Formats: sequence, structure tokens, C-alpha cells
Amino acid sequence: MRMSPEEVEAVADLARMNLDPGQLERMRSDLGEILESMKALDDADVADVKPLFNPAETDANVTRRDEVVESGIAEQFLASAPKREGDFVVVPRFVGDEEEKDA
Amino acid sequence: MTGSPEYRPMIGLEIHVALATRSKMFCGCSAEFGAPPNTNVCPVCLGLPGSLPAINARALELGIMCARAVGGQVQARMHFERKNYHYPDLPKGYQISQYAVPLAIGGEVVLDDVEDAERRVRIRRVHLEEDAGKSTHSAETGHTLLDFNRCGVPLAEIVTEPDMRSPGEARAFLEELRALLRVAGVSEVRMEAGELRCDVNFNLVRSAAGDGLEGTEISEVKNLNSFRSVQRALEYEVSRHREAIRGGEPLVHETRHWDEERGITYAARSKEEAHDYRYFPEPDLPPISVDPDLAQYLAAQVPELPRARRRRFRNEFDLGSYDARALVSEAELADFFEEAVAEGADPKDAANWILGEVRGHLNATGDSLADLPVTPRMLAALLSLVAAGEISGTMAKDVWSEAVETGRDPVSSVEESGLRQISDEETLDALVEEVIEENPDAAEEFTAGKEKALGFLVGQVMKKTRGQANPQLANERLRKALRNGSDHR
Repeated sequence: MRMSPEEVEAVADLARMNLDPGQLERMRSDLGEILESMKALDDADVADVKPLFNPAETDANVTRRDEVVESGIAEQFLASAPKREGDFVVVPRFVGDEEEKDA
Repeated sequence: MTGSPEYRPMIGLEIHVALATRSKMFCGCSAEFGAPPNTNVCPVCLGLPGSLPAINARALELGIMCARAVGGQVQARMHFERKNYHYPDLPKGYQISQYAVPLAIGGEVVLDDVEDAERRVRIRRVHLEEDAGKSTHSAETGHTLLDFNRCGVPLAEIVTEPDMRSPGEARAFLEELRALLRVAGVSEVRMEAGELRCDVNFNLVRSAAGDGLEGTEISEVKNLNSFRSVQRALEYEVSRHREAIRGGEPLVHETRHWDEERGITYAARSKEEAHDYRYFPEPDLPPISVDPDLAQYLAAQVPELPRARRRRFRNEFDLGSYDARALVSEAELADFFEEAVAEGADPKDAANWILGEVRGHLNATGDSLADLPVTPRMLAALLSLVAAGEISGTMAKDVWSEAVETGRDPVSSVEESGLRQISDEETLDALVEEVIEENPDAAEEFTAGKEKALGFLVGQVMKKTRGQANPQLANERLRKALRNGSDHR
């Protein structure tokens, strides 16, 4: 079960990895082997098995009360940011939903 | 194109509403808006290794109430999923959301005043998720500034079917939804705080062979944060799609952004829209079962919804649709109104007063009605004095303003200051005689047929009484006296 080079490239893209052609080919072969071993799952008889969304399938709703708890790490967090401007963390400009007029 | 049916807009919306919780969706950080940047952060919402999320029970409750407010069917069992994407404002690298099994399925919102007809907008689903941080572009440095206070704030996402047929209708839907959510207590929906944001899906369609529809490729305009922008962006898209049809140029299914200043939408870079979210069940959170008793209890917490209340205001109190809509859109005004009526106020007078004086004051000061020392009973008593002609509308406004400032009962203000209107005919007739004697020219002009002169004479009576004469009665008595006078002459 081999993935196409395009599929491997798409997965690498999603993982934000730049692969050179050699790495890509090696990854393609590795992924192929992994998928091959996963095929064992196809043999399992799941006709009577209900979908399971979480291994901790429980009816005991685990929630917390809506209470504010200060973490006390705000200053430490900002101090550890590679780059900051005032109380903001600075990152290279990215395209998206940023609001330019607020700056 | 002759013979072909006309194209019409087809609009669907995805609305994100910030739920009114104290803390965030999966951690104990404050969800408050407007705190200094990066103060409400912790290992969970920053996605630090080893941290684990925990579901905010109140967010779940508010989500259920939200679903009930739009008539959705709350699912007995649901779970959260990871929506994977890389963005600097999402430190975990995924957003915890819902996908395969949302909080609620179905529902509808009925708009009753759209183009004089009822329009039903079906709801597809409501799900819970967490918000991302806020990014701001710094023009100075060309960098992006990140504030993670918003990261992890609980949101309900409401997805409609594409049932709206004009930009105005989309806006009417949003206004109705905002009223619903406020009344249900799900969210304060402060637009300026970004508590409601909206994505629109738009295309032009027309009926095609069979029962089908054919249309232009769908445009998705993302992240609109005011009703006005939604309407304007849609209006822009309507003309853009119409032009494309006219020019025979093909459109592509794409994500677009709205430029408020230029009033146009523009295509997002193709890279951004190549989404592959790879949803999978969130392994760090157990599934949720909604106890039917809890769901029922929460549904009962949702008060009378705006549409039902408007209808009741029209039927029970004989209000016009404008007044009913205006009152109901602000629950505290509607409550005040109902209590004043229960205290004996005439419904129409009360509605006028509340929408004029009370709302005017609230808008001007930004106060909430709960902050003011006036009560519905005070208003009812004041309005009955006006109705009985004991004081003029102007006086009523004066003593009401005083009550709003000081909490002084307006009726006692009237009693004590002797502001009571002069409504007895004898007293007025004596004054009318004086005024006619003092202003023979004006009296002459009126009897000669110049209606306007009467206004001047009424003004003189008002002046003599320092505004306390009942103006209508003064008018009547003057007219009578002048008519008799000219007969005698």
C-alpha cells in the first residue's frame, strides 16, 4: 500500500515539514509500511461494535465549575516569549483574520 | 437569457457567540473581555505540554440553552473533537470543537417582519468550541502582535441552512438571533467586544430543470463582526456575482475577506483556504451525556422568546409592531413596561414613555435600567396624572428627569412643588380674560380670522401660569371667550 508522492507531500505540508526529494521518497516507503501493518485492522469483525469516541467511555460527566482560577504565570509567559512588544507576543506577520486597524 | 427564471441570492450564516461564563471553556482563566493583554493565560489555554483541559459545566449549560432558544434538538450524548490547523493565535495547533456529534441538531428562527411576511430560517446545528487568541497587525513593525486572553473563551457556533434571500434578511436574522440569545441569557452579545462574529456563505441561484437549483459558485466571507458589515459584504457579493453572470466569467468557490474601508471583499490567498482539518475525537476529554432532566430544566430556564413576546404585546396591549419590537429587543425595557402596565399604566402611554424618555436616557448615559432609582409603579402613577390632565407632558418629563437623577417619587414632586396643572375652567377663564385685555391686537387678529394669533394668546396664558395651565383647555377657553366677545361687540 504505497502512497503517491503527492499524498506524502500534502501530509508533509500539513505538518509544516520541508522534505527534499530523498527524504520524501524515504518517508513514502516508511508510511507505506505503516499503512500496510495497519491493514490488520481491516480483518477485525466490527459488525456488532458500536462506535467508540473515547477510550474512557463513561456516563460520569467530568466537568468543572465555572470558577476563575488565576494561573499566576502571565508574567513568566511573557518573559519567555522570544519576542515581545509591551504586553504582546510578537510573531512574523501571518495572513488571516488579523485586524489591521487596531494597531 | 429570455425565458430563464431570475437569479436570487441564497445566503447561509455561521455565527460564533461568546457564552456568558466567568471562566474559559477548558481552564480556569477569566473569560472577561478587555483585560490587559496576556493576563488571562495558563498552561491549558497556552497549550503547554502536560496540561489537560476540563469542561466548563456552565458553558455546557449555556450551550444547551442557546440550542433551545433556536429550537435545536440537544443530543443525548456528544463529544469534543480536535480541529487541526497551524496558526500563531492557536497555540495548541488545534482547536477543541465539535464535529461528528454536535451539541444540537435542527431548529429554526422565524422572522416575522420581513417584507411583510414570515420567513423561516432553519438551523442546521449548534456546537461548542473554544475561541482563538487575538492577533493585531502592527503597521509600525510589520509584525503580528498576539494576545491570548481570548484563547479558550467558550463559543457556541450556530450554523443556518442557506434560507435567507437578501442581505437585509440576513441582517434581520442576526438581529433576531441577538435578541433571542440575550433573552435566553446565553450571552450579552456585546458587538464591540466581538461577542458575535459571523461567516457568510453566498451565491446566486435560480430554478433549473426538475426541482433543482443552479447557481454561481459559493463565496464564503469570513469573520464579519458587525451586522452592518454583514449586510454590506453581502450587497457587494450580490453585485459581484451578478456582474460575473452578465459578463459570462466563471466564479470559483473561495474564501474571501471583507475590507470595511474600501467596502469590498477580496479573495483569500489560495494557500489559506486549502483546509484539511483532520478532525478526530479529543482524547483528553471524556464524552458528555446530557441528562434529559437537566436538558428539560435548562429549557425551562429560557424565558419567553422575543417573537412570542412581541405577539403577546401586540395582542394583549394593542401595541403596534414597531413598539412591540423596540420594547422586546431590550428585555429590561419590556419587563419594565409589563410591570408599569400591571401597576395600572395605559399600555400605549407606557410604551411611548419607555421608548422615548427611558430609552433616550439609557442610550445617552450608557446606564442600565437596573441602575436607575425609578420603578414601574412611579411611572404608572405619573402617567395617570398626565392622562387625567392634572399635569402636562412637559411637567411630567421634568419630574421624571428629577426622579431618574434622585429617586424622588415624581408624584410627590408634583404635589409638593404645586406643579399640578391648572385644569379648572373658572381659574383659567379669569386668566383668559386678563390675557385678552392685555393683548387687544392679537384678540382682534384672531376674530378677524387669523388662526395663528390664538397660539400667541395661549402662550400668554401659559406664561402667566408659568406653564401650569392645561394648554388644551386654555386653547378651548380662549376660543370660547373670543367668540363670545366678538358676538358682544
